[in-house]
Amino acid sequence: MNMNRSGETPFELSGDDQRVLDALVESGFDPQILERMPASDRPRGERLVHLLGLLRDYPVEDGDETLIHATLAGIDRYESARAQRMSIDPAESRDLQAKRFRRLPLPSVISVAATILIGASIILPILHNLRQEQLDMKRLNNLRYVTHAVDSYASDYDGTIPTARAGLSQMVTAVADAINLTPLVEQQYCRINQPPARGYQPSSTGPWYQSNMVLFLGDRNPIMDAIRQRRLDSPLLISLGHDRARHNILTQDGAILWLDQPQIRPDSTRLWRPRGVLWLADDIYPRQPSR
Amino acid sequence: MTAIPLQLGSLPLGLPFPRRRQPASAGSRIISRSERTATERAVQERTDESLLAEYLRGDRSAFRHLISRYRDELLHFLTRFLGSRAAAEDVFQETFLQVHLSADRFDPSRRFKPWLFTIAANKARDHHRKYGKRRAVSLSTTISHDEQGQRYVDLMEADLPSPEAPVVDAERSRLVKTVVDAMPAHLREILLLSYFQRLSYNQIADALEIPLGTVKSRLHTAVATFARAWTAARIEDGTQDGR
Repeated sequence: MNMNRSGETPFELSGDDQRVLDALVESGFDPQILERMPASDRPRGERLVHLLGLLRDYPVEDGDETLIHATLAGIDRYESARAQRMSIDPAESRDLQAKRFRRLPLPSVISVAATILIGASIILPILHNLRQEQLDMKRLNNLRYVTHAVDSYASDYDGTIPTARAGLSQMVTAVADAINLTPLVEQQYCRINQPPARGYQPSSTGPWYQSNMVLFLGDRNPIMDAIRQRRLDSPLLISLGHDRARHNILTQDGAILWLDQPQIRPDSTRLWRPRGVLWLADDIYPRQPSR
Repeated sequence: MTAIPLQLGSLPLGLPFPRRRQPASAGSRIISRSERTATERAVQERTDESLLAEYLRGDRSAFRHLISRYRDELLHFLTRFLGSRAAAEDVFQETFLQVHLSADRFDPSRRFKPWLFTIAANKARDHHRKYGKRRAVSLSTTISHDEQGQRYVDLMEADLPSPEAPVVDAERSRLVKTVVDAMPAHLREILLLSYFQRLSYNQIADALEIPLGTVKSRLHTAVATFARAWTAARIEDGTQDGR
């Protein structure tokens, strides 16, 4: 059984009355609506209008000017109180601050400060470690991208990887071939925002994956930044001002190690490149794919 | 469906459609056309929405005109809803304070009146909740009805004597007040919004924030409840002619 809010069974109009009432309401109780109704509905509509017309007999009185004045005065009072709450008298404010300060005893201040310091000393290292872990994870992912790019490049060039001559000087090539990752970016094997950096592979012959040497890849150094910004004319610029950030070493088997310190040149310039390599030639790598 | 005949008693002659709003800012005083100043005429010709916009631009008199324009209509609505003139005046002032506070959020592409009555209905409901429910009177104790399910009312089967009393007397006013005051607040509210404020179903749904279907069924219930309660009140009062 349907019950209304007061627990009584609700009344419902008959379907015909509902239909006529809907028409009256939707017309805004337009007096002309009855004339437009079908003749069969008109008496029903008239009875509804008569019935609802009883509501007009509810005793009400018109308002007077006093009500308008009272309403406006109420708004004024509200605004005045709000303005008072919002305004700050400088003298009162100083007094208030002084009172508040006086109310706070020194031991409380010290204990609060100590609590804050202890909390910070616990939280800050945790946050720093989290941040470092996040960065390391990003570096590892980027290195995997670069590994894949080198692999793809080698497949397209008969197993040859992009190289550059490197050595002690132009005349003395201590290391015949260093991995040159710039063509990987130029030929879209990997994206510019992934961290290609100069690499090193002593063997210039044979597929790169047959090498038993490690492949050095750096992250977050000036060379990489230059590559990202497409400012790197030569992929073999000296990495001056290296900030001693950790370097990644990607080995042949895909393992990733860390090289904690950059290689330091004899002139104390911090340069990231394989040990013993003082000179690198640029722009030496296969330019045409084998297929 | 079982239709129960109703005896609605004598109803006033003519068809009592709700009154259209009169040109407002003249208030209750009748002012001849020749007396009106150009300023007054300009105010009367301005829409509610433009008056509110003027108020937002700093014209305090526009807000006064707006209050004056809805003074009687809103006060009558609140009096009928709350059953008390004093409570109605309190809620009237709260309503316009809320209008003042929310004026900058009013969407000028919409009509002011439904917005005003939405605020008023909300304030009235808050007042009703705050100060407790009014006297609840059973509206069906003296009338036979179906014991199962809803009880249906068909006005065509109502026993309606010919209206003989065109003048609204105090006794009928008292009975109407008794019946309306005894109705549940949610039924009384929707009855007043639809009849006096002539809001459409969609506007009522917006105002009360209830689904359109609920608005319709609630109004149907409200009218049926009012019809039944009017008959019951007349029987209890021992007056067969509504006097």
